[in-house]
Formats: sequence, C-alpha cells, structure tokens
Amino acid sequence: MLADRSNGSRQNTWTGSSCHYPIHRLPCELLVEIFSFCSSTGLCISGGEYPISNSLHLAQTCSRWRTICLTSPTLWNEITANLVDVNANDARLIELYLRYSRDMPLMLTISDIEFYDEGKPVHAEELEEVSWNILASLTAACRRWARVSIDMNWQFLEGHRGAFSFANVGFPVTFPLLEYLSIHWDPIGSIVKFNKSNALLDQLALAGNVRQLELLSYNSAIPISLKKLTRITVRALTHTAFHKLLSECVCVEYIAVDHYVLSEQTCDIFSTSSSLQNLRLSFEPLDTPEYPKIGQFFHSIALPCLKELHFQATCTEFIMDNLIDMLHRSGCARGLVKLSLNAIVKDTDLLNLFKLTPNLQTLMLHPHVPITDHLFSGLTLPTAEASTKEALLPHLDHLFVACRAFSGPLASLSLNMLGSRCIMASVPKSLQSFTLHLPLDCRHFVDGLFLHKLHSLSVAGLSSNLAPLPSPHWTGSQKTGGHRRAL
Amino acid sequence: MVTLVTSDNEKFNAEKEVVERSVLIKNMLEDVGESDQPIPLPMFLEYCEHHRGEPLPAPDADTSQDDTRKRTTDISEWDQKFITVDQEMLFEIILAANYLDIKSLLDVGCKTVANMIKGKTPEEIRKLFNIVNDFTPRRRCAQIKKENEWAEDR
Repeated sequence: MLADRSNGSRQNTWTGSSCHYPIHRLPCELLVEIFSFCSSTGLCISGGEYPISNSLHLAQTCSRWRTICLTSPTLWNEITANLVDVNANDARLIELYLRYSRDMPLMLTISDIEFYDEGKPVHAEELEEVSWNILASLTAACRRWARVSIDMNWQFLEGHRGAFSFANVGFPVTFPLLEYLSIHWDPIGSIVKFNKSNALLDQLALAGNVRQLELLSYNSAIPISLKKLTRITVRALTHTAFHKLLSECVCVEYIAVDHYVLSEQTCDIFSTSSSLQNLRLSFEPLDTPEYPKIGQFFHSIALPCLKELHFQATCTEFIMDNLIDMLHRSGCARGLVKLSLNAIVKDTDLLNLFKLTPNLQTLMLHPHVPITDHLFSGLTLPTAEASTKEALLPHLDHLFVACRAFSGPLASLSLNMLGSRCIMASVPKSLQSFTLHLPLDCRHFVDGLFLHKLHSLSVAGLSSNLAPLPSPHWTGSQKTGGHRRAL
Repeated sequence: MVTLVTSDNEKFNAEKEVVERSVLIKNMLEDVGESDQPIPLPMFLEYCEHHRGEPLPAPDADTSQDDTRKRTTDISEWDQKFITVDQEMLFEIILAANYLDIKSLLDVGCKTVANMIKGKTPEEIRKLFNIVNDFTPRRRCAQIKKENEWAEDR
C-alpha cells in the first residue's frame, strides 16, 4: 500500500510539473476543437489492416483527455467500414463508436471492395458472418443516419440475408436525420437493370428529409421523397423521370445526370423549374433512332434561374438553336455565368450563343467543340486595349480550351486574357507558337502538361511564382512582367 | 489607422481593415468609436495582413452543421510556413487567436496540432506533449483493455 501511495505521489508531482508544458494551458473547449480535427477521418476499418481511430488514441492518453473525449460524442460519429475480411474485434470497435457517439447523427461509409493483384477494385461476391453482424448494428442505428454512403454489390442490397431489411429496427423507419445519401453499386451495370427493385431503396422511400442524393446506379426513377432535395446526382435517368424531378423537386438547385436516356416519345412533356441553378447533362451515347433528337430536349424545359450549364452530346451534331431558344424562353441567358460544352457545334452558332450570354465568367470548351480561327477571331475577350464594352464576353475570367478541340492546322495562336484570373489551355500538335497575355495577379495558370508540344511560348504579365514548366522542345523565351527571361 | 500595443509596450500601426479580421478588435473599435487611444493587444498583423480582404465568417454562422460535415486538416502553404514555430509559440498563437476571436487563425493552429497528433499511439502523443499517463492501473486494466481488443489477433 505504501508503495502504491509513493507511486501515486510521484505521479502527482510529474503531473504538476507537466502542467508547465504548453498544451496543458489549453482550455477544454480548445482541446475539443483540436480533437475534432484529429477525428475528422473517423473510424476507418479496412479488413485485414489495423483500424484507424484517432479518437480512441486520444481517449487513452490521459484521464483529462479521456473525460473530454467521452463527453464529446461528435468525436465518435463517423465510421468508414470496408466489410471485406473484417473480424469480431472490428465489430466491437464499431459498437464502441455507436455507443460513445450517443444520440449524435451518424456519418457512415459502407463498402465491400476487394483489391486483386492487378489493383483493380471489385465488389465482394460473399461476406463473412461478422460482416452481416456489422451491417445489422449499423442498420439498427438507422434513426441516427445523417450522411450515408453505400458502395456495395447490388445483390447484398436486395434484402439478401436480411441486410438493410430493417426487420429488427421497428416500424415505421422514417430516417428523420438523413440528409445526404449516396448509393453506388454495380459500377459496370447496364440499363437492363433499370427496373430492378431493391430492398434498401424500398425502405429509403420513407426518408423525407434527404437534401443531397447521389444515386450511382441504373434506376428508372428516383426512389425517395423528392420534397426537400436540393442536389441530385444520378448515373442514368430517362426523360420522363427527369421531368418528374423538375416538376416535383421544388427546392432543387443542382441536377447532374451521367447518362440521359431519350428512349421515349416525349413531345407532349414540358416542365419548368424555378429553383434549378446548375444543370449537368450527358446524353447516353447510344446509336438509337432517338439519339438525334437530343436537340428537342431543350424544347421541353424552361429554367429561369439557370446559372451554370454543363452539356455533353458527342454522337451527333448539336443544333444550338434549340439551346438558344430555351435560354430565350426562360429569360436566363444574361444570368448564365458558367458554360461547359462538349458537343459538335458550328463556330458561328457558338458566337451567336456568346452574344446572348454577356455575363459568362467561365467558359470550358471540351474536345468535341471544333475550335477554329473564325471562333477565336470572333471571341474578343477583355484586354487592356479593348474596353469591356467592346469585348464579346467582358466578364470572362476562366477559359479552358481542350487540346483536341482545335480544328485544322493552326500555326500560332494569341489569347489576351488580361481581365482574367485563370486560364487553362491545351494546344494542338500543329501549334508551335502560343502567345498568352495574362494579368499580373493571375494565380491559377496551369500549363506545362498542356503546352509540352510547343516550341515557343510568350507569356506577358505572368508573375514570377507562376513560371510554367519548360518543355524539352522549347527554344524560345518567356516574358515575365515585361522582362524576357531565357528558359 | 489603428495603434496596437503589445503586452511589452511595443506599438504597431495598422490599417483598420487589417486588424478588423479579429472579431474582438472589431467589436472593441465599434464600442470605442474613433479614438486616438491605442488598443493594447498582442500582434497578429502579419497574419491579418496576408489574409486581408478574405471573407470573414458570418457572426451568426451555424456551427451545428459541423457535426455532420467532414473537417479537413489541410493548411495552405503560407499558413503552414507562418505556423512553423516551436510548441510554446504554437499554443500561444492558439490561445491568442481564441482570445482575439480570429477563427481562421484558430483553425490553422488547431489543425497544426491535430496533424501532429494524427496517426500516433497514446504513448507517442504523451511523449510529444509531455503528458503524464495518470490512469490508475485498475482503470487501465479494465476499460482501456476492452477498448483495445481490436488490436488483438492481428
């Protein structure tokens, strides 16, 4: 007993002296702040490897830190679990997190990814018993789900063996806290699976508070309540389902569709969304008789609040008039600030479009847009000489032009971007001289990767810390702040 | 211009726009109004000068959303250089940023400490910050051993 007291007394002395060390001066609320950054990655369980749990290590450092950790449930509410090769101890650690996080909303990332020798990730074909137990624990806490991301073999989500069946949770399961949901399964899925039902999604139909949805699968419709959705990303969507979204999602601000499928007769559908600001559409590159009708898509919508449009349709020539009509009809042309285009269009049509959209700040022209001399001679951008009134796009401050977009053998190109903050450009192989006028405060000049075919580059106004990487082909020089400097 | 006086009576002049990155100083200036009286405060002019013009966090920003949002520990290159100091100074900066209510600087300080901690075992953390392991053997044996079961059979 005396020895114990002696040890205790010595320990108290050390504790006292260690108080002089700086970290001990921090009040609890600042330690919580630091701990929350430490635990930002949450619990990471990846079968066969040591779990990563910074919160647990913090809680085992000293009694003061332990008290702080165990009274801060936010340090325990994030779990990332890859369910391949997990063991009973992983399951216990997850239980610990579920307990210490108390009633806090949960952020979960669940997957079943295996990596073979080639390093290519694939979904597991079978799961061990312990994996199902972990799924059951996480499912049992579904009332606390707030941000959930699931990337699993689609067979596991169909109610197989009771995973995600919510049978033991008690009904009704309404997911009151669920705000973000991402479901990603069967990355090489085909449209054959379009109408496949899914036990998990059947349950999630009751989730009425989801604001952000990522559905990276092939479904014919959005399977959850649309009332509060503001951001929607889906892998594939039919024309009819898209119109349902527009008409029912009264709060939606962002819609992104990887494969927009025009497979139905849709002439009689027309929808208006008074909230949508950002639309990203990529048309399914299928050689179907419907595909040439993509232009008609823009006949069927009105988007008065549209600010950003990302549009890709690469299999056939896109009729720009349909887009221009939509912008006119919606009254949003002057409000458009960002345009990202990857479609086969005529240069004259593009210039007509730019005349309607004088407030564009970002323009991205991807490989299928043919860039011609005519386009660049017509594309007057703000320069020191040209006043903003004379420029076609006076507010443009970010231009991206993709390499393949340049049409024909251009030998030289000059771009004046003196009103811009950012430019990224890749140039065609034929181009040997590229003159670029940049503003002094340009902070985002990206090159080297893009300009490696060039033999000479002249850059005016480039600040010294943005010097581009020299190409092995270069024999020319660059101007920095008006002074030529040998490369 | 505003005159700041450090605790050791050194005076610094700085533009109002710069020093108002500190919510505390901003409030003090609003309370005091136009005055020639110097404000006695530690100096963080270099930091505030560099971040001049950047948007300040809204006073009524909803912090409850942080609970469900990932918090990154990325630090910009300049901030990283600025905060490369010894532990004594690092914790002084954190305490002062907290007192002066400069949220962005407080975040930089806290992220720096977090990055020092991340990936370390409890023993390594103790060594790093000179923390005494004050768990009683009984407590250590019971609860912590149970927590550490995940490390067994590996």
